[in-house]
Amino acid sequence: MRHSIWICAAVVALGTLTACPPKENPEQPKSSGGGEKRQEKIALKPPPLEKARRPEGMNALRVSNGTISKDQVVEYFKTHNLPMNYTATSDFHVESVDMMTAKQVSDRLAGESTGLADDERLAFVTLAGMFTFTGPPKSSAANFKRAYAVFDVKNGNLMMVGTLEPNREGGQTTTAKQ
Amino acid sequence: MSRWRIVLFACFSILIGARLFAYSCGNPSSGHCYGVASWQEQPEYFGAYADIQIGQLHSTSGGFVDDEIWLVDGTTPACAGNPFTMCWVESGYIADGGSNQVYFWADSRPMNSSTFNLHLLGGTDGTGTVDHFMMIKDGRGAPGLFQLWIYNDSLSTLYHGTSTSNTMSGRRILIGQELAGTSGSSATNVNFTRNIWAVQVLGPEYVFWYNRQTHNGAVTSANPPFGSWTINATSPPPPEGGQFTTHCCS
Repeated sequence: MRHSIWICAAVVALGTLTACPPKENPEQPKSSGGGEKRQEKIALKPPPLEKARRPEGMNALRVSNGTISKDQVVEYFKTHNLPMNYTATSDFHVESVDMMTAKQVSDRLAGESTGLADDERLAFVTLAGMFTFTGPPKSSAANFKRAYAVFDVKNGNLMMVGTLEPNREGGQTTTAKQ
Repeated sequence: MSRWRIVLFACFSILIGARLFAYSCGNPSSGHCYGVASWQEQPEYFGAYADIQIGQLHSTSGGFVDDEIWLVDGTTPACAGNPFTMCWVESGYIADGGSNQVYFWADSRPMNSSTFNLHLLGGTDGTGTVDHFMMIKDGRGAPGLFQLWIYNDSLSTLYHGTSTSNTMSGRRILIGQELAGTSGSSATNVNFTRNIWAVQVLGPEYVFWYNRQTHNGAVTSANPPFGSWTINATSPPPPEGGQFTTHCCS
């Protein structure tokens, strides 16, 4: 009698193990036909655009009279490099400082968004000389003969920097180290 | 006599320390240095996202250190033909040239003029805050748009940017730290969690549909900066996509 109970229990246990498939966690990788791991896609809501803050930039110039002069910018770039630029401040100079709206800055930069209202006033600074920027691993360090900086006329903060025309003579110098 | 010994010991320590904390990440021939994990096995990553802890970054003149996420295309001909030989969108936070650390985003577009643009957004949340960094190709209108957000749980920090005229297709995702310069930078431990990627473009339903990273990808650690998996991405969540940790520079 006791043997029968044990045999019955073993049969039931075996049956349960073979009959019930393992419970799937939708987040666990699943094998597809190609042998790759596949997951169910999961939803994540991006934040609402209307609540985004206005970019503030980085402390840079002291502004008086609601304007930024070329002399101020020249002084600034004697001691401050363009963020992420490889070359030294002695390798470039301030070519021009133009007051314009955010919309005009965007137009000047092939549609690059400033993140500001179209009518906000900015100082667009054109810098000339030699600039070298690079990016993520495996990108080439690229040389440019002109670059730009954008300052907020209200408080003198540095809002944007970037490249203008490439220096084709200099070309790409090297591949950034990983 | 003992005073001379102390002075000698101090001088020796300073010399050794200076050598230990010097690095070669400061010019085009040496290149920048990275502590990153990267993935590139999907046909296209429509977007990328990571939760990045705010650490204390410090840099000196002539260098920078940052923690960030990149979405990169070095394959599309128009991108391979730009001055960097690739397009990308990136976002994170940076300490550059001794300035206070700020959030930023940047893009490299498939064009020869106005290729690279760096947007400086504002001071970061306090140390230890976990911020969310999201970027995704926008399929709701004209081609060439990527939307980027940097935000915290309460949305007291919420910056948004749009990369335009950027027809890249994301082929590679990287997370981690970048270091430029030759000495003087530092960064406390920073964790990257919820390492996930968008499986489709942003549509009218306004949802970032995602999968998590399920393996560690390729890890590069130039030492400095230091980057390594402290929880493997192969581990079941939480956290989704493991935990990658960076620090710099000693």
